[in-house]
Parts: sequence; C-alpha cells; structure tokens
Amino acid sequence: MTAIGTFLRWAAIALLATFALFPIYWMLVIAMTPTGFSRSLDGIWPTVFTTENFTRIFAERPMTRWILNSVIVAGLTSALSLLVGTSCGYALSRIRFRGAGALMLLLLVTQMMPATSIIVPLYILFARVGLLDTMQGMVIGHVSLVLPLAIWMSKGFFDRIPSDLDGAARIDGCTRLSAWWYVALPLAAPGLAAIFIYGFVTSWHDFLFAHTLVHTPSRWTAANGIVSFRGEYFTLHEMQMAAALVFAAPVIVIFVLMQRWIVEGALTGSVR
Amino acid sequence: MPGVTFERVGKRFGGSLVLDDVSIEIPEGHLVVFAGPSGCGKSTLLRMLAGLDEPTSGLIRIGDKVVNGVPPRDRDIAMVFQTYALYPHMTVAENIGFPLRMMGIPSHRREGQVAQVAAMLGLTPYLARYPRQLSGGQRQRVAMGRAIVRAPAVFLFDEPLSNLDAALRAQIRVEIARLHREIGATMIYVTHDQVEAMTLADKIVVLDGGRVVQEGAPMEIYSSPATAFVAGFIGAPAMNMITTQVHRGQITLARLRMKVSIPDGLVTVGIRPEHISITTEASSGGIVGRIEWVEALGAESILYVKTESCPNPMRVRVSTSLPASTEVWLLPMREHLHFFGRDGRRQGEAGALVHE
Repeated sequence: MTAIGTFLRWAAIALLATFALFPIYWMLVIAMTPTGFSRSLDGIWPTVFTTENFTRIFAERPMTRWILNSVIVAGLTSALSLLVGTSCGYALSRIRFRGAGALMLLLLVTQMMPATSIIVPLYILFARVGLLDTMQGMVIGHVSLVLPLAIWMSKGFFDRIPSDLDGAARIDGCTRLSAWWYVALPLAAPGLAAIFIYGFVTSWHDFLFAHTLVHTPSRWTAANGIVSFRGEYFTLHEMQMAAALVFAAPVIVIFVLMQRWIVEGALTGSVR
Repeated sequence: MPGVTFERVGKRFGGSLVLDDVSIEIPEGHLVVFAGPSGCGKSTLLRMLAGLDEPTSGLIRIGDKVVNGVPPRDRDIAMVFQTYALYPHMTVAENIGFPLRMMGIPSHRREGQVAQVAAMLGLTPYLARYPRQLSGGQRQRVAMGRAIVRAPAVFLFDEPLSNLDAALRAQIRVEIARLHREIGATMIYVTHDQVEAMTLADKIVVLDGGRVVQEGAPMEIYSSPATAFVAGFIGAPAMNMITTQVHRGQITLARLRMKVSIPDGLVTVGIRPEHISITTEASSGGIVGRIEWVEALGAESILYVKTESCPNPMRVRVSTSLPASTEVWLLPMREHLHFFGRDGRRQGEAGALVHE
C-alpha cells in the first residue's frame, strides 16, 4: 500500500473513532467538572478536574442500591431467558410437531412490535395482578422483551449441532433431558454466552419499562436513577454524567468476561 | 446374547412409505448386513431398532422382549454412526467412558475399562486428545470403542466405513470381523457397499424400495440372486444383462440357441463377467464382438466388449488381458446363466443347446 493509501486509511479510522468516542470523552469531561460548572466550560479541553461528582452520587443518592437493582433485574432476566429460551429452542430444533413453523413466526412477530405499543396494556395487566411497582414485575417485562429472540438464537445454535450426537447420547444412556444437558448444552455454550449478554444488556439499558412499571425510588434500576438528576428547574449534568459512566461500566466488564466464551470452532471434530 | 426380530414392520414419513411389511429374523451372535441402494430403508430399519425412530406398524424384538416404545437407553444396544457422532467437548477417554458414566459407574472403575478397550483398539496414546485432534481412522476407532465398552447385547453399525479412504476401509473391515469373532455379539451392519456386505456377513438382507428382496448367505445370494436387482447389486463389476425373447421354449443369444424351461415372452439373461470365456478364434456358437475398453486391475483385467446383440458393452473378467479393438468371441458358460422374467424375478434354468 502506498503512503497516501495508508494515510487515508488511518485518517478514516481516526474520523470514525472520533465520532464514536467523542461523546464518551465529553461525558468524562463533564463528569469531572465541579458540580454546576459544566455550562461555563469553554473549548473542548477541561482546565479543572474533580472526582467529587463520583463520590456525591453515592453519598447523596442511593446509586449503590440502583446499580444493585439493575444487576439483580438484568441477571434474573438473562438467566430466566436463557433457561426458558434454550429449552424452547432445543425442543423447536429437535422435536417435529405440527405448527412448529407457525410458532416460530409468531415469536418473530412479537419482536416486530415496538415496546411502546405494549407498555400500556402491560401496565393495566400488571396493575390488576399486583405486579406494578415490583422488581419481579420488571423482570417479567424484560423477559418478554428478550425471550423471543433468545428462542430464535438458541434454536439456531442447536440446529448447528448434528442430531446424531443426541442420538448417540440417548443410545449411550441419556434421556432426552440428560442428552440436552450433557451434550447439546455444552456444545452450544458460546451461543448461550451471546444470549446471556444480549439479555443482560437489553434489560440493563431498558428505560421504558423501568420508568413506567416502577415508581418507588428504592426499587429503581440505575437507568431510572440517572434520570432523577434531571429536575423540574435545573439538571445536575455533572453528577448525571458521572452516574452514566458508572452505569456503563458493569456491562463492559460482563462483556469482557464472557467474550472468551464466544469462540468459534467448538464443534470441530464431532462428525467426520 | 439375544437375537433380533423384525415382525411385519412398516414405516411412513409423512405421506411416503419408507418400509413396507418387513420381516427379518436375526439369530443371536450373527453378523447380518442390511444392503441396498440409498433410500431403500436400511438405515431407517437400524434407527428403529436403536429406538431413534418408531415404526408405524409391526413389532421389533430384541431377544423375547418387544422394544417398541422402549427408549434407546433401555434397549441394551450400541451404535456406530456413519458420522461417528463423537462428543467434541470430551476427550477420547471421556468419549469411550461416557456410556459407563451414564450407567453410574464411578470414575476410578471406569478408567480400567476404558484403558482396556483403548488398548484393544490401539488408542492408548490418544486418550487425552479431543476428537478434532484425531485422524478419520482414529475417530472411527473411538466410535467403536464407545460401543464396545458397555458390552451391549446388540451392536449396530450404520455405514461406519463410508467416510474412510479405501486402504483404511479394508483394514477396519478386517477389525470389525475380528471383533465379531472375539466377542460373538449379535451385530447388524448397514452398508451400500457390496464388498463390505460380501466379506463381513453371515447373512445378507438385500433391501430395495422399502422391502426385503432377498436374504441369505453371501455366496448363496451371489450364485442365485432372486431378482435382477439383486443380481446387479451384488458382485463387482456388475452382472451383464441381455434382454431377449423366449420363443417356443428356446432363446437365441447371437448364434447361440438353447432350450430353456421358461414360458414364452421377454426374458432378461444375466451372466457374471467371470462366467464368460473369451477367444480370439472364430467360434460358431460364440457372440462376436470387439474390445472397446480395457481396465487392467493387475491380477486381472476387465474387458468391455461391444457386441451386436447387446446395446451396452459386455463386461468380461480375464486373467490375461487383450489389447483394445481386438475382435473376440464370447462364450457364456451355460450353467451360470441367470434368467429373470418381466417382473425381475428369477426364473427357470438353461437346458441343452439346440445346435451349435
């Protein structure tokens, strides 16, 4: 490659990186500006640094509680979606029954509907059965968002595992259930990690359900908590940005931890 | 060690009939080969015996016990799959030991049994490896080991050699024969390869279109095939088939005319390539032709001879080859002629020559 080509390529990469990373940089700048002074920032380089916003969000607001709530809700949502999604996906992949295709299509259709269109009926339903303003209600709401795709994804992963392996396992002494547990599930592990991350991130980032279905501050998730820095007359931008950065961290940690599971080639050598 | 019985077994997949009224008896300790072209239903038969598919009608027995509806794990069988179906996330030792683990045998007792089987199959150096680190032949052996380790009543083999190269295939064929001799279990072996069928079987069951066409000892099937299909399927190169007419109890093949005990009408005459003698000297009773192509196999050659009486070239097996485009005379050995009627079934025998 010529020097100009190399230059252009790096220039393009730098431009894209700027677009992607500048907002995060700006979050960081605001979060480290003394409370109330972000409006008087001039230029893109900060001159005064402080970490007081980070300590204040934990001291003055129940940020720990909110993060913990988010972890509980997102963890339960992805665990439940994984459990139900993989068993449904396995059944749809392995057992032939009438209407399986229609069922798959129906699941997909539910994904086509925007969450905003089901939130009102869901609110009324939850109000009737007493799930409003509870964390289990929020988990159920989030599972309903995640599950259809979780089933589709896991069916796809199981479809890629040769059915001869299940046959062999059943001949070697497994029931259908233990064949799933000992053979299909370990082989689908990379896919399961992907589903877990998808479920976790979807639930973690959800604001609509969190904001609509729960109103007691001690049950808020962090997504809802961050909004509380915005008041009727003024907004605590600096603390809000600090909270947003803290909010983003766990997702990055989870992703880095589970990334190594998402490896190709787990199936090599099973057949032929 | 029980035998296996299929009693009027039928199988439908959706609307299509895959197996139709199949009854087969497999005596205990025998190695029986289900042979036939792909789609003849032989693998389905095996999968139903394994419990992976259920028959639509009929009964399957292992020993005296009807196994319809019994889950695979309770049938006391082991199966070697065409794809081997090794568990990719387990080592060779874990793969072989898996059936024992499922029986609830503790790991320290499993190890001994696994080691013994591995030694028997020459897999000892590979016990810690994963299937992806093995060659095709080694994977095949692991699959056999997983079957052997649990000492099942019945072994099932579903085209176990079809993914191996020719040399390895011959070698493992011998190993399977040895295994059968040593453990004496009932074995059912599915293949579309007639060489495997001929060399391994105590009994061959030939299937076509979901029905049993013939069953018997390999040489019995070879020397008196029940139908034109069986005649063409068993034996390589395939039997020569010539369609001709029976007229007043006589047939005419070129200038060869002989009496037959077959009613008048169309008949297919079959003759194996090794049952034709060939000469370069004009012979009054012979079928004249010209060598079109020669396949030299070393110890023997296959000549493809173009004749007037037959649209396809005749295959002739000879020990001393002749050059292509030689003019030759073919003399079928009368006692080795096979006759098949219009329905493909075997008929009558050749009688005396009418005149030379």
